[in-house]
Amino acid sequence: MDSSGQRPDDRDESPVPFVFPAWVNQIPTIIPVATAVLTAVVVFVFWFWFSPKHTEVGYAPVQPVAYSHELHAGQYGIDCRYCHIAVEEGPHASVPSADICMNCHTVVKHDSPKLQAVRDSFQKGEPIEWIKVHKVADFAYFSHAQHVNKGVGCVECHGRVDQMEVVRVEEPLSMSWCLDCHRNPAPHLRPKDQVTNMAWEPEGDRQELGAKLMEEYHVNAPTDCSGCHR
Amino acid sequence: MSHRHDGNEPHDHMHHDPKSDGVAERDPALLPVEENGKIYWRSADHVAGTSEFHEFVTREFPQGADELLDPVSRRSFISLMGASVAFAGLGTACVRRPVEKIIPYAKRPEDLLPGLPQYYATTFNVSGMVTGLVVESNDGRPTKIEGNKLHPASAGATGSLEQGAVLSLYDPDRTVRVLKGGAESEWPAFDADWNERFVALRAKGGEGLLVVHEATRSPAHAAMIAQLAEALPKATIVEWDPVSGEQTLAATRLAYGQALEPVYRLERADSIVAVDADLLGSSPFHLRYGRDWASRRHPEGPGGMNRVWAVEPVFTVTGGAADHRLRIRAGEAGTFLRALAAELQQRGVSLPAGVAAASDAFPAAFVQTLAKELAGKRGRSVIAVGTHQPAEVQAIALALNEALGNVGETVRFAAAPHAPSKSQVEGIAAAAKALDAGKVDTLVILGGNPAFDAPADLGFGAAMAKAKHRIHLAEAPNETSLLADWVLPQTHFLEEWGDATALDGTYSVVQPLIQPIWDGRSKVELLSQLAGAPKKGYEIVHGHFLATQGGEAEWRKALHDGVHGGAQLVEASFQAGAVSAAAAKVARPAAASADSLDLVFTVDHKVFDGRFSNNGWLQELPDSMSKLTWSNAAMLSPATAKALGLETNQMVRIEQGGRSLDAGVWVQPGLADNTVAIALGYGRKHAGRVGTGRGFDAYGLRATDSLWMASGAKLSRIAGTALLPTTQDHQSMEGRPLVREQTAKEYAANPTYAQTLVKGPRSLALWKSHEYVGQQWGMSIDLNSCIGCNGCMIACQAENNIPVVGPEQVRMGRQMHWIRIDRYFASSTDDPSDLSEPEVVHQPVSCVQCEDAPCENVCPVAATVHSKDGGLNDMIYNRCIGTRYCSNNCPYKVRRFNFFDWHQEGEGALTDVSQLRFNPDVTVRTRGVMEKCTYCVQRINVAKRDTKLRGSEIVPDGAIVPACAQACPTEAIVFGDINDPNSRVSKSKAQPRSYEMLGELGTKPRTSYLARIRNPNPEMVS
Amino acid sequence: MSLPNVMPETLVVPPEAAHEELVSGNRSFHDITELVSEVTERKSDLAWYVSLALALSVLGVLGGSVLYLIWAGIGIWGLSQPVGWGWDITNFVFWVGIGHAGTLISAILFLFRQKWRTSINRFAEAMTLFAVACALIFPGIHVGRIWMVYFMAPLPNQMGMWPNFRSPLLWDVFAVGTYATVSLLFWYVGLIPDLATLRDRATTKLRSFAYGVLSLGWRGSMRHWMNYERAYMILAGISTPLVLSVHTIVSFDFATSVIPGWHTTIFPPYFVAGAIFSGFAMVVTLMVLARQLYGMKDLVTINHLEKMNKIILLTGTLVGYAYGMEFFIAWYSGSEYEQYAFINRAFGPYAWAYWTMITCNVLTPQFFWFKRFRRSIPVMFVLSIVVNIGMWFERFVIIVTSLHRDYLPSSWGYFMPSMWDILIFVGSFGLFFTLFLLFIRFLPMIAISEVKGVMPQANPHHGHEHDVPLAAAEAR
Repeated sequence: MDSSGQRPDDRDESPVPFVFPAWVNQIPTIIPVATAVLTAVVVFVFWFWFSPKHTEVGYAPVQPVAYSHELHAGQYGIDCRYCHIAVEEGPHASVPSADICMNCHTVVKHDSPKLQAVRDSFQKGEPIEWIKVHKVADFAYFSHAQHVNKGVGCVECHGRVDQMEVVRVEEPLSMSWCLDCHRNPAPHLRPKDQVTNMAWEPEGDRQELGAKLMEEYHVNAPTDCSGCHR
Repeated sequence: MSHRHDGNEPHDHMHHDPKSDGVAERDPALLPVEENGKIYWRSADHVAGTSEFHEFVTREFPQGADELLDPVSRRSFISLMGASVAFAGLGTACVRRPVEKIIPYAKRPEDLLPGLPQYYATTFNVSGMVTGLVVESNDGRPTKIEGNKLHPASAGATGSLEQGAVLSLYDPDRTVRVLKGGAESEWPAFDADWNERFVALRAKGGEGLLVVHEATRSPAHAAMIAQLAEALPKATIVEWDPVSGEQTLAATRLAYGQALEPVYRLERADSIVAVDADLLGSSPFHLRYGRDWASRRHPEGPGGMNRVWAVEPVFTVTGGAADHRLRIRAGEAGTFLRALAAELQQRGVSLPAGVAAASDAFPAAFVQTLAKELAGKRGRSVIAVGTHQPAEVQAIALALNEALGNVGETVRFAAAPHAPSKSQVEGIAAAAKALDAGKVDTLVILGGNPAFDAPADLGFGAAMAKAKHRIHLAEAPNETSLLADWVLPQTHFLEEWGDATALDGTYSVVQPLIQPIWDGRSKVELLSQLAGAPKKGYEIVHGHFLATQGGEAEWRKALHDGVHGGAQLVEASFQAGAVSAAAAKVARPAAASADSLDLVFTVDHKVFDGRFSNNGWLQELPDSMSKLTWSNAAMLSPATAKALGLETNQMVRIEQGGRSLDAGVWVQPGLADNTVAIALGYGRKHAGRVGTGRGFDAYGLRATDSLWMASGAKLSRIAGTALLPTTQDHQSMEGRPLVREQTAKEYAANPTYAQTLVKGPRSLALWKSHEYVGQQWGMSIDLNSCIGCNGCMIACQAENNIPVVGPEQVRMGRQMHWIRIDRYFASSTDDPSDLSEPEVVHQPVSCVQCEDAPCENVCPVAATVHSKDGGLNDMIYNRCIGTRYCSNNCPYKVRRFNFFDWHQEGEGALTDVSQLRFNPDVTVRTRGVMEKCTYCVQRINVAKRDTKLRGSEIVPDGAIVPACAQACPTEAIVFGDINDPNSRVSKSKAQPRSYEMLGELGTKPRTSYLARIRNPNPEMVS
Repeated sequence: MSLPNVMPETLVVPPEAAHEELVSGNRSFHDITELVSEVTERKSDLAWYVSLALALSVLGVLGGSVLYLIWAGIGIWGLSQPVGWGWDITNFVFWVGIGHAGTLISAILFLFRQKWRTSINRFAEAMTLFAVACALIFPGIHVGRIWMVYFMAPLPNQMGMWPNFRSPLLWDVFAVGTYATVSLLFWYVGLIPDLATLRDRATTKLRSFAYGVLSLGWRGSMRHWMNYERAYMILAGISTPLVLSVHTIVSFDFATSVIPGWHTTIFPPYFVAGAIFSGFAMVVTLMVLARQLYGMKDLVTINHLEKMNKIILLTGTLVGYAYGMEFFIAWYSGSEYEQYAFINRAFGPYAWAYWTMITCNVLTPQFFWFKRFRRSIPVMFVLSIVVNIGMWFERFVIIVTSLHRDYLPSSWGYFMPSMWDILIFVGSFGLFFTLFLLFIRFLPMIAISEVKGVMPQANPHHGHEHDVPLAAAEAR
């Protein structure tokens, strides 16, 4: 028999042989639901799990020397610039060379086993291989000097380093994250003399203050591609 | 994608070993990196506390939940699963592969901040060419060379050879270690060996020692030679350089009784006569001459425009820039000068007897008009002759300059202390004879490559083998090194201490930018060793400075400025008699014909005498006139090629004086007829991965009696084609208004002519135009002063990390130069197809930064977009997916596509050492990405950064100089803020002859051109 | 079949319809079912296996070349400055063009009640899909960094970047994507009743399962037919504008640029005409083969083919007109660049390609003015192939001759295909024919139900003196 064309009238209705069990009829309703759920999951996975918010934030490798910012910057209140000497002039903040450590540690804790690596480096002249924590893509050209001299505090990108036993990434450091600030710098600005002050709190409305500082410091954060990519 | 050298190295051990847990507790600092799992356990523990974790685990692993919630077994479970990522992800930590390192100094050198470049003055000193340089060093790597404004030969400009030096420094094919008989050895081994030999030699007063060195303008070098002669008086010391100016010295000896260097003051000359002299292209002072010549090419400029008369057998850069050009045979230079002298005499110019001799070999109109003009411009003209022309011919020119009162005005003389006492050619010939006779026990060759470039009739290579001991100090192993038993690594000039005197006698210092990469020694160091008193380069140079130039203070200043003292100009008295006698000997050579051609050797602007053959940048640089890359060719004029029935790319055999050479033919408009010209320095057999086997070895034809020209050469077609790679297939402008030009007279009458060439309305933009803030960058290129010297091209290549693609890819049209120089021939006659007497125009073209850019609309991923601040046409490499649509839609065809990863494969392939050359401020592009000129946006950004750090907003005019503009000897390229009416670029664009190429398309290009103004003698224009 | 539920006025089929020889050989409904289904059921002959093997090996060539392309980079093609697009985009436009006939026949002819379409539409639609599949390869592989193509998709990302919606290339992706999707749906909906037929005729478990799944539980009830007709109608409505939009937008890739030879407003109609031209040519080529091999002469009659040839003649002439017009406009524009571009096309280094194109696309179709040729199988077979060669050259001429000499003579060049250009083009035919062979083997290549609808028996008056609407209605 043939179900596609017209059935000549003289033949009477005969039951179609069913290939599938009845429950199969559910499928048309199940499919859309399933797809919806699946899409939701996939979107979540990519949106959250594979975004720098997740892949970057929280990265906190153990360094060859158990250096504690919490101790040095936090408790002793040593200014960031004492060690990160280039931050105001150069693109890189610069990780301190062993001789900077030894400025103090020839006297303080001069025989601590934790400092062995530093002493070796200083004596043998072999650098300590620190593990890079905050990473911006190589094709994005970033200058620390440009930021700290315009009143962008260390804490804006690095978080409360002075409270970190082990330095960890606090911000996604993604392109859109950069752009959020570059499009509206005001709420991220502070007086230049407070740049390295992790605990600084603005009195009054920050947006307002920021607007004032933008004037004062001639802040115009580039949003053009060539601002960062060359 | 980017090579920024902050010492990163991949490190992918991030797995977690529970056993390490306890250890980690004790002292993480003592742990190797791969056991730094601790942080994750902590986070997992911490997470384990949270309810969400319980929930998660019970949900995800119902059966194993208990086990999971027990810390110890959980750890083993995790470590088994290697699931730390997922778990860490729930809470605090994440992973990064590869782990990147930051490697600071152990003891930081003062005044060095990571990421900020430093600049040092030094000097480029190659066989008589001395150019003061300022070199940029990034974290200890010399990466970019610029001219030293204080140095007379540079005046801030650089040529292609100077720019290419960086690449040669990092050439992986350099002599990387001492070689003894081809086997690896060490310096101490050589030192011991030499000390032994030195004792033996000294016993004989140096007899049997032959030292061959290159020509150099280094006083310290001269002093060390003297010291050696003193220590070993019987030693033979020979200077040899295949390209030398010794004929000029001979000419001055003849005319003034002493060796002098003529120095021209082109900025003072109204008329410049260049007789087979490439003043602007290849003379030792060409950068300075270019600057001075250009200073008199502005129609509105003070003193009016100068006029250049070029009289030459081959088409030189100077000939291209000339207002009048006459093609003569190479051998007729003297005849021409005497004919000119005759005309001058008739116009009351008094000349030494016998100089003048009328000749019908040249168009009367040309010679007479020229003579008339010169007679009317006494003391305001220059008559220059190529340094390779015979001494007598050059002496005639000196006589003419004297007679016209130019000497002291536009022609000055500098002392030439470096001048060798005896002729190079005789010297090398004698040396070869001595070698051949087995009279030489020890042969020392300081640099150079005589086995390759000594005159063919000497058979130097063969003779060399007869010396018992053969020592070669070589920057890179070459044909000569193959025949030496000791090959010693020589320092590159960026690695060594030295000094040099410019053409005008100005002293300058060569100071190292980097420690010798391959533990090499400089020539002066080895010379001191040969003399038995080894010294360090610094001691020698510093000591010599103190002895001859001045005190410590001057030394410090000389190091800072790069120069010391000024020009050492001298007065000299002209000896008419000698010149008369010599001039009388200058006769017109026998007629040439299609089957008895003149053979002319030319100096290549790229590989020079062959020493730069392994430099990819220079090899890929198109020749100014032929646009040939990666090869030389047998150049023929269209007429001669027709007569011989030859076409470009056909292989021919050149036969002359019993020697022969097979080469590819290139039909070159502007060549003298019945002349075959071929450039020296190609056809290297052992030059390295880049240079070996490129082109044809013209030295094979070159003999002691025919160093620069020979007659009676025969050409015969042989089987095969050469497929010469060129960057420009089409020579005609097709009557399109691309390069626009006028004569000075027409310009005076109708200055805005250039802007009126395009009729009809502009096309409208498809989309609404962009809005702009801040300074807006623009460029103006003066076609009137562009001479097509290629300086900008290679400067751009060095600044922007532009790859080299190799000859095959060039043949496919895949060269990567961001700025190119379009060269069009135009007929000077009425018939446009008749290129027998061609005029040439050069037009530098790079991205013109359209305001309504066709490329921007079509990119599907917005990888090329417009910048609000600056108004540039940004190109973002890491966003580009490589559809090539932008390039298709670019009317200027200035976009370049990475068809392959040029840094990985082919002639441009990187090695560990060669990647040190990269400019860290520019992304290195990978395969499948489009790239193009950005007006050196990295320099713009740095200038903006510094301005802002100074608390100012506006970048001052001239603070930003793109690489091309910085190198340009004639200052043809001007860059700046077009919003500022007082900026140089605004002023330039305001000129009536300023026009936009293809502006009618509505692209609103930011780069505009100034029309070319020729300045022919009105009497010559019929 | 006529559409009682949707179009009541067609209830009464004009008597002449019955006499229209759409199906010859006085077949019964059952014969049709047999004729078509039998092909998918009988043990297929050696010839089919041989051709499949052949097609698969060519497909292998495609796969291999594409893998190597991705491995080595598109430098292995003959592309250069200034010719940034060569055979890659040529092939893309070529295949998209071929993909036009299907939807035209199914949708537009359907809306125009061209009954003769019924025996060829299934076939044409299949061809459309396979051609579009081939086309879609090229935009994918022509990019320099294929692993980054997702930048073209408007997805949320950490860069906060959108693709550039101004780019015709992006419009292109969407246009072709939509076209492919709708064509697929249209084709599939049309297949359902026939798939049910195959299911019901199935003798093996596997067949009944496979066709069972595909036919979505079709039972041919009244309600099914109503929904079916409505769905088919709606899809036809949606596809109709697509037929015009796809190639219009493809032509924007060129028309919106500034390159002389590309920058012209005539492109949209010119491209669409050309597309239908090549599409029909391809249908004829394949039809002729299929009806020969599978004895469908009674369903795909010479009348069908003649009608096709008439359309080929029409569109071919349109294309010819466009060629002429381009030259006129170039001259009329007064732009020296435009003028040079077209003189260069006809007399420049690529003149050989240009005149090949003219010969194939403008001259050869003129044979179809003669009924004799229109109805001659060998003639139409040869001509249809010639036309497709010509249409490939048209795209090549437009793309390459315009690029190789544009504004600045200094950057002029010459494009030569490399081995890989050729292999990948040839390989794309491998994909096309593989899909096609599978189609004719496993799916009803002719729309059984629709053909029945145009048979005399389908006419309610057939075999009745007096009109029995009810019976007629019930019959459907």
